[in-house]
Amino acid sequence: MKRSNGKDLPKAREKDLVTRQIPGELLVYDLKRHKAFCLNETAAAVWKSCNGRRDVAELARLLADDRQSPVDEKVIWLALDQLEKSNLLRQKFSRPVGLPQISRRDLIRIGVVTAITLPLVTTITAPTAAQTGTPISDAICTGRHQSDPGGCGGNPCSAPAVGKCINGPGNTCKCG
Amino acid sequence: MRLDTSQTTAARTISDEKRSGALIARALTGAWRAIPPPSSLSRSDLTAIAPLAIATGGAALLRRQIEVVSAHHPEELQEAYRRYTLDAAVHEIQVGEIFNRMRAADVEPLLFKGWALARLYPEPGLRPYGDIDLWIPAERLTNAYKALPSGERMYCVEPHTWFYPQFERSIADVMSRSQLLPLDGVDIRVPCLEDHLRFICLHFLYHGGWRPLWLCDVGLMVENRPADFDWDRCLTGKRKYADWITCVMGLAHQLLGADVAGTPGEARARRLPKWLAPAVLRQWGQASGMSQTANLSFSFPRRFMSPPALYEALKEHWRNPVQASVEMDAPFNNAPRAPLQFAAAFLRVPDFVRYFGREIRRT
Repeated sequence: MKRSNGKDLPKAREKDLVTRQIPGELLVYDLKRHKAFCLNETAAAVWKSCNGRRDVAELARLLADDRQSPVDEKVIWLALDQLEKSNLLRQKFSRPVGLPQISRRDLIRIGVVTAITLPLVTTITAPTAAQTGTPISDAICTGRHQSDPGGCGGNPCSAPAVGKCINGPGNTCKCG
Repeated sequence: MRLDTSQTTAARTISDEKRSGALIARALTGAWRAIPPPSSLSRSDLTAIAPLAIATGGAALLRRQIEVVSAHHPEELQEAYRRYTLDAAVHEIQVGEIFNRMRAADVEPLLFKGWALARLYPEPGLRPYGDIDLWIPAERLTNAYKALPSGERMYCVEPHTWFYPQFERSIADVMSRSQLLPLDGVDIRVPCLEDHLRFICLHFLYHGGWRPLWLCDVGLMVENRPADFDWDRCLTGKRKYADWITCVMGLAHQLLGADVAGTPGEARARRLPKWLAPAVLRQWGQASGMSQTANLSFSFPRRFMSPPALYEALKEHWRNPVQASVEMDAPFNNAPRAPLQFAAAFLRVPDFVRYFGREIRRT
């Protein structure tokens, strides 16, 4: 989506994503990359407003109206940077020339104080459905072989072992 | 706030394990209900058992219990809740896709456990499930495998062609009483509630009762049964196995406060075998269990070189009283379980010798 001035405007990706709302957070699972993300309320609000027709100023105004509190455009840039890094936007959007990447720390340092929570997109590191299975002990995992039907299986290893049952040296499997 | 995970790694005594198991039981009392009862545990107790709850799939239920006591819960529990919620969403898509693919290949599968149980909980993210368990008629198994995609879109599907012998129902019989539930435009075939309750009780016993979550499932199903729930359908069969099932319901009452009033489990709950609850609590306190009942799946040749590892492997293959009773097809009475545990170990020796020989040849 382009504007008359030729700038690309941010548009939220919709394809191959699964979303679920829980109190205070929006969870997103990328079915293509098998990655899961957690968006706080501010990041979620910005993401949902990215329809490819709104520029940063409009997004900031929209968020300010919603939260009934002024919102600095740098807050929106911070959200967009994180959303883009997480591949949650459909296309790369144009940044104004000379505008550097902004971090949460930068915003606090330069004194952008806001009544709203700063946007935050975090990766949910734990395995998701596509990779999980019945938890197995270390003994069961190391007893498997890569040449077995189903290989090492990728099941999560139960405590005290950690990680998943993955290929070890040679034909063996190991928790890790 | 991060958790201290030393509790799961430090050497633990039997009484430690039973105490932790008892804390888990108190923490998960009625946890499946829309409004769970207020927990009798302090926040620090609830936090201390968080690693055990995470290891056994009860993290989201425990998080909900802690939320009643305090707005702040360990980040690990919140992370697990997020993961379970997304898992449930992804699984729902996969289940629909799998049923469509199977039907296109002329296979009518039956989904059990997993989504079929998770849908009964007040929130989708409360009850995690990893595998998608399907019952498939044996003669359709080849078609079923062909219908499953491989590579990037591989699903965690576990096809089953048989039931536990103690289930005492054929696939055709279970199919004839199954129900279709809509899931995003796809009809998902699941067992009738009576068959499902029978199955999950047996499943709990087969795996030595190692997951508290499985007993929550039992409490949930019993409490939410419809008025016309057919107990005859659920319990018909050998008296011994009906007794096993009522024992599990009684255990759900005794350990997790499930309301079993007016069910066959009510009377049994008052006279459970003395060994049963302690054995299950100890297993819960260990936070690990055997997920494969039949296979001798550890590699002795590799472990001979490491005595501690060998000892750990042997210990993991020692059946707890519940699993030993099931493997020895024993009644759930007050007779000591140790002979059954030894017998269960002894009966596995031939399998072990065969496996060991194969391992030696292979390595």
